[in-house]
Order: sequence, then C-alpha cells, then structure tokens
Amino acid sequence: MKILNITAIRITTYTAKEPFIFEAYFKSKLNIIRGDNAKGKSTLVQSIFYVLGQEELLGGKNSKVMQNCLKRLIRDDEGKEINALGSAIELQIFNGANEVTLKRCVDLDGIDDRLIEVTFGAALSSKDIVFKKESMYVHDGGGATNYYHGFHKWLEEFLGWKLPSVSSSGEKEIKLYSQLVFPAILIEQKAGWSNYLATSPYFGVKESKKRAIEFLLNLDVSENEKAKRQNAAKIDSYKKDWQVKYEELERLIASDFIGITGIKRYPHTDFDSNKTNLVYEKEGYYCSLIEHIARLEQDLKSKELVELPTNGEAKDELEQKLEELLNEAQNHTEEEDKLRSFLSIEHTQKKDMQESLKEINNEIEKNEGALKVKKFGAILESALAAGNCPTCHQVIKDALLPLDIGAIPMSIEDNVKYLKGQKKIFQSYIESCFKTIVDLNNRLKRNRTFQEEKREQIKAIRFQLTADPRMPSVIDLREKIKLEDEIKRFKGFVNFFTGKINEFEDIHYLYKLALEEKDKLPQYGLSQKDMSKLDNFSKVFRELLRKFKFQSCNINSIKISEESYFPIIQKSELLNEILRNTPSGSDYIRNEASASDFTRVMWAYTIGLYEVSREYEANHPSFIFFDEPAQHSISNESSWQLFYSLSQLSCQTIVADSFNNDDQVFSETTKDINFHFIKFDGRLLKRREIL
Amino acid sequence: MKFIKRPIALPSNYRFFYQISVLLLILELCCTKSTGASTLKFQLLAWALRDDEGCNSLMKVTKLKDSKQNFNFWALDPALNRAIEFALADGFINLNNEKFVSGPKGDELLNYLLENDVFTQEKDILKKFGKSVTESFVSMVLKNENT
Repeated sequence: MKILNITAIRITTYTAKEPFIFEAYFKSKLNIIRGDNAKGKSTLVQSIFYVLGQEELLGGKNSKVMQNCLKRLIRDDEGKEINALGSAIELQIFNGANEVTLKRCVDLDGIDDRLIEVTFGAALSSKDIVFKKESMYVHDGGGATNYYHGFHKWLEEFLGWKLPSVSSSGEKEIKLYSQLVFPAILIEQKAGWSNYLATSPYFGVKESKKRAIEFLLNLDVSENEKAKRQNAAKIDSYKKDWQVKYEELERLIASDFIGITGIKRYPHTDFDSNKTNLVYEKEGYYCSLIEHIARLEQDLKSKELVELPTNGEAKDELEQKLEELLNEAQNHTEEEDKLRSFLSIEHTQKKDMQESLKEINNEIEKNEGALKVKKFGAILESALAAGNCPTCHQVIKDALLPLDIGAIPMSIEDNVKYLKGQKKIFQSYIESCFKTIVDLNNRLKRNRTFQEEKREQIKAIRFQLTADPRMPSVIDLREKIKLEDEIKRFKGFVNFFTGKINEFEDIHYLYKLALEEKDKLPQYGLSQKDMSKLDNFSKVFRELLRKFKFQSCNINSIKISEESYFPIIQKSELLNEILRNTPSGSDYIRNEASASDFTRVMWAYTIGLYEVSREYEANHPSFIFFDEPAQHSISNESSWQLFYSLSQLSCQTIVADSFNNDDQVFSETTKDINFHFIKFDGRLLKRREIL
Repeated sequence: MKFIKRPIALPSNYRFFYQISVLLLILELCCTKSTGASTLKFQLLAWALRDDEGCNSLMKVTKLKDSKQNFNFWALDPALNRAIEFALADGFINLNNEKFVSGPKGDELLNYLLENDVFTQEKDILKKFGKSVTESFVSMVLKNENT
C-alpha cells in the first residue's frame, strides 16, 4: 500500500515589515478547507501543487504559475496593498513510515525556483528539532542532474513507486513522469473537471493517460507490453546478426562462382546446418564445391604425369589464342563502361524516389491525422466536421481552396486512399531499383574478375612468345600453379564456411527461442487479473454513480472500457454520451443541467480508482485532492453524498471549497459528517504581529 | 467530346482539420493560455512545420535571439488564413484583445490531440520551439523582412 499524507502546510510571504503567514495542519481522513472566493483559496491549492513539483498540472513551469500575491502585491484584511518580496511554501508529508518537509520558494531572494529543499523530519510540527536537509532540483535536464539529486526521482522513491518506462512518440523508451500520474489524484478547479486526467501535461508519451491508469492499478498489461517490445527487439537483433553474417558469406561468393544453398538472407525456421552447402557454378557446370576441389586435385595429378611442351612447339597455337583474348578483353572493358553508367543512373533514380516517398509518407500521416480529428470534431458538433459553413450553413467541401477555383477536391478518405496507392507504386519502384543495383554490382564484380583473368593470360602469352623457344611452356606451368592456388583457396572457403555455419546455428537456436517466447506472450495485453481489476472498477464506479444520483443514462449498462480504461456506455465514451444528450449551446458544458452528471462521473472515477487500487494493493498513493468539486451547480444532496463517501474512505482526502460563500450550503452539505475543518476568515495570508 | 470533372487530390494544408489542429497545437505548446497568438505568429510557426530547412534556420535564430542572422525568407499561407476564419466561426478559437485564444470546443479537441497518436511530428517540432517564438520576435522578423 502506497501512502501520501499531507500533515501540515505553511505559506510565508515576506514584506519589508512583518511577514504574512498561513499555517494549517491536516488529519488522516477527510479534510475540508473552507475559504470564500477570491480570498486566497486558489493560492493555497496552487501552493500544494507547486511544492510537490506538480505545477505543470496548472499549465506552466516554475513560479510563473503562481499568484501575484506571493510574488509582488499582497493585500491585508483591510484591503491595503503591500509590496511582497517573495514567498516560501513548506509542506510536511508522510508516507506511512517517514515524515519529511518540502520547501520551495517563489521569487524569493533570487533563489532558483527549481530548487526544492527536503528536510528529513517533521519540521513544521516539531519546530525546535534540527533535521538533515538536502537540496533537489525539478525540471533540470542539463548537467546539474549529476550534481544534485533530482526531486522527482526522490519523490518516486519516497512514495515507493517504480515508474515504468513507456514508449514516446519518437519510438524511444522514456520514464512515465510522475506529473502524468498526479492528474488522477489532484483535481484542480480551473481545468481539472473538464475530463479525466484533464491537466495531464504533454511530454510526448504515447497514450499517457492510459499509461498512468495502468500504473495506478498496477495492471500486468504494462509489463506485457514491455515484454512484447523487448521480445520484438530481440528478434530484430537476431535478424540483423544473421544478415551481417550472411552478407559476409556473400562477399565471398560473388567474385568466385560459388553459391550457398540452405541458408537464406534472413533467419528461417527450416534452417538445418546439415543441409547447407557451397556449390560451384561456372558456364553451365554445377556441383558442390567439395566435389569441385576433388576434380581439381585430379586435374593437377594428371598434369604432373604429362611432360610439359616447349615454347617453340606451342607458338602458332599461342598467337591464335592471344588474338582471341585481346578481343574478349576489349568486350569486357566496353561492358564495364556500360554497367557503370547504368549504375549511376539507377542510384540517382533511387535517391529521387526515396525523397518522394518520404514526402508521401508525411502527407499520409497529416491526412490521416486530419481525418481522425474530423471524426472527433463531429462529436463536438462542429459545423465544419459535418461539411457545413459555420456562418451560412451552406454545404462546403472540406477544403480551404479559394471559392473561385472550380475544381472538386477529393474527400480526405479518398485522398488517403489515393496517397496510399502512390506510396505502393513508389515502394515497388524503389524495390526494383534496389534489385537492379545489386544485380549491376554483381555483374561489375564478375566483369572485373574476368578482366583480370584475361589480362593475366595475355601477359603470360606475350612473355612466352618472346621467351627462349627451348624452355618449357610457361603457360602450362602457370596453369599448374594456378590450379594449386585455387585448390588451396577453395579449401580455405570450405573451412571458413563450416566455421560460420556454427555461428548461424547459434543464432538460429536463439531466434527460435525468441519466437517461442513470442508465442507464449498473451496476445491481448490484459491478464486475467487485469480483467478482474477492471471488472471490480466497473462495479465500484456504478455503485458510486448510484450514490451520487447520476441520471443521464442507465447506470447498469455503464462499464470501464478494457481498451481506454475510461467509462463507456455501449461502446461509446460516457462523457461524450452525456454531452450529446445535452442540448447544444456555445458554452455547452457549463450551462446545462445534465452537465452536473459530468461532474458526478469525475467524482466516481477518481474515487473508484483509489478503491480498486487499495483492494489490489496497487500504486495509488492513497490521497485524493478535490478543488471546488461542486461544479455546475450540483445539488447539495449530491455534495453531501460526496463528502460522506470521502469521509468513509480509508485514505486522506482534502477538499477545498467555497460553498458558494454561503453558510447554509456549508451546513447542509456537511451535516453529520466527520471531518477535519480548516477555515480561514477573510484572507488566507495573515500579518504576523512582531512581538 | 465530353469532359468529366474528376476530383483532385489536395495537399494536407488545404484540409480544415489539419490546419485547425496546427492552430490549436501552436496555442497550447508555443503560447501562454491567456495571451494567445496573432495571425502572424500562426503563419510563422505553421510555415516552419511545412518547410524542413526553414524550420532548422528558424530554430537556430530563436536560439540566438537575433532575427538578423541566417534568416531571410518565410511564406504566408492563404489557406491558413481561411482556416483561422472558419475556426473562429465554428467556435474552436476566440478573439481576445486582438489575439486568438482557444475556445471551449478547441480545448476539447486539444485534449484529443495531445492524448492520441496524431500529428506527432508537429507536436514534437512545436514543443521544441516552445515559447521561444514570442510576439515581439515575430514582429522583429517581419521588420527585417521589410528593410
């Protein structure tokens, strides 16, 4: 069970004379903070977010989000304005075992507002004891992280959390920031009630809200997803290893008329090291390399038995052969030039097409995005999403073309289809380019081997024609030496190949293991336990809705989605459903009666999340903070139910509420409820009289 | 002879919902909520999204805080202006002190944009710019353009 309890807070605003102070202590169950509007309640709420390093939930970084009264001008109870010199906020928190005090300054004495000072003890309630202190930083991506302890990392450890790594939009693995989890726990008044986890900041984490809920409920799905990603990476790396090794072998082939059988470019399950072989193939002649070596050895032996002819005897034959060879060499040089020019053309074409393909991919992404957004826009009752002009309600095509262009634009759907068609064409072009390039390169290599061979032969014949006619024929001698060389080289290949095959075998073994592992991973991310958690969540959620007198739709058909982890009713989002039933108006959420059901859903969801997490001992920090929960003129009866439900929870809950500045509302909604009361009359911050 | 008008494919910046998403993302990632953005700021950042090279040079210039360096061209997109008008009429954005801010519908849509796997490239680029492209920077760029 993870615990976060706030035990005390002190806000000190310094002025040239006496400081202004607010101080309060909290109890372990329901705490209600009552303060009239515009008297500093928001300052208090924001201070709590700020000192916990969660001010990004308020829409900004560092002290920019904080109220002016803490920074520049403060009013006293008589309404007199006094210059403020900056403030310090101290918050005492408890994790079930240890109590610490956090302190963060707002524009005070030039102290860096990214600095949070952690005191390892209850510095607010035991003022006389001196505790150890440590300075930590927030929002610090740079070099200072090596030097100072990062606050968010410390907070994670303090809460007993192990935040998982999740995938970001850049396909990188990054840590799930605590600022993405807290929006499910701290509900702030301005933006917090508009959606689930509405104040979640954008860090580029994919499906960040889902990840946060998975973490809070400790769903196995996140582990599964991670295992899946790791498995995929493993398989990928084996494929790469295999390919590198294969290419190494291939380099050995192309120049020497040797082919490989039994191994493919990518790992294949039917690979069998006994069925691999090197084959020799030249001018229609095909056999295994080992056989070929045997034949060459045979040749060599027979040559050793025959006596070599002398130069004089071979002269005529040699001259004729020289002629032939010179012709052939000429042809080969011409072919090389041709191949080279083809190759360069092919390369430029490939590059052009790859660039076009990149453009097309970009366009597809943009169009698909636009399509998704358009569909979502329909839920928002956008005239444009319905294809009408918002001003004159005439039908307009979904295009921002000037009106006097007569062309008919494609619909986005067709546009995407069209682009995908283009993409396919370009991909197949590029693929064929690749193939041609490989082919051309092989032909070039072969061509060069031929040329070398011919050149050598020409050189030998010329030498022999000018040599002493009584000497034994150098050509034949050369052939013998060449034969010996070839046998030695081919034997080397065979040895090299057998060695490599073992390596392929190793990779193949690991590859098969990884595939097996992949099969064993659950296909759907959710485990049996996850399902039962979500099932329970649905039950708790419905129960709470009933208590809160939710009326917009039939409660029995509401459940928590296994896909989004948010409540749905017959496959559509519950919140959207409530909105759709609300007659439209410009400020459609705030004005309508059923909008208060919106608020009830938010209450039930936030409380339900805690209840389920507690039952399964998951990661919820057992702390709920509601700022002005009575949104949309919700009835006093419902508010009473909320307070009652909160007071029955076994965790700490804090509610900040103005109760419409009305004593009667306060007494009606809190009647017979056990709670710790924190009230400030007049303004939050009071002048401390100097004794 | 008979001619049939066939529908033509459009670049994405002529799609309303591409542009409205860009507008809202600029408001969220590159502006403060209360002040919003001017048309020219929209234009400058939207141009950077369309033009890789331009994006890089703008990024460099914002880091140097000196618009005179290495930065001499940007283009206005008439489609974006039309998108702004439509978005205003449809309630996605509102006009406040001659600047555009996100409306209630816009906030809903933004939520969707930030939470889902759409326009990731745009989001990443705009996040990199962050709040470094200020209104005064935009007018500074414009001034250099005129001289």
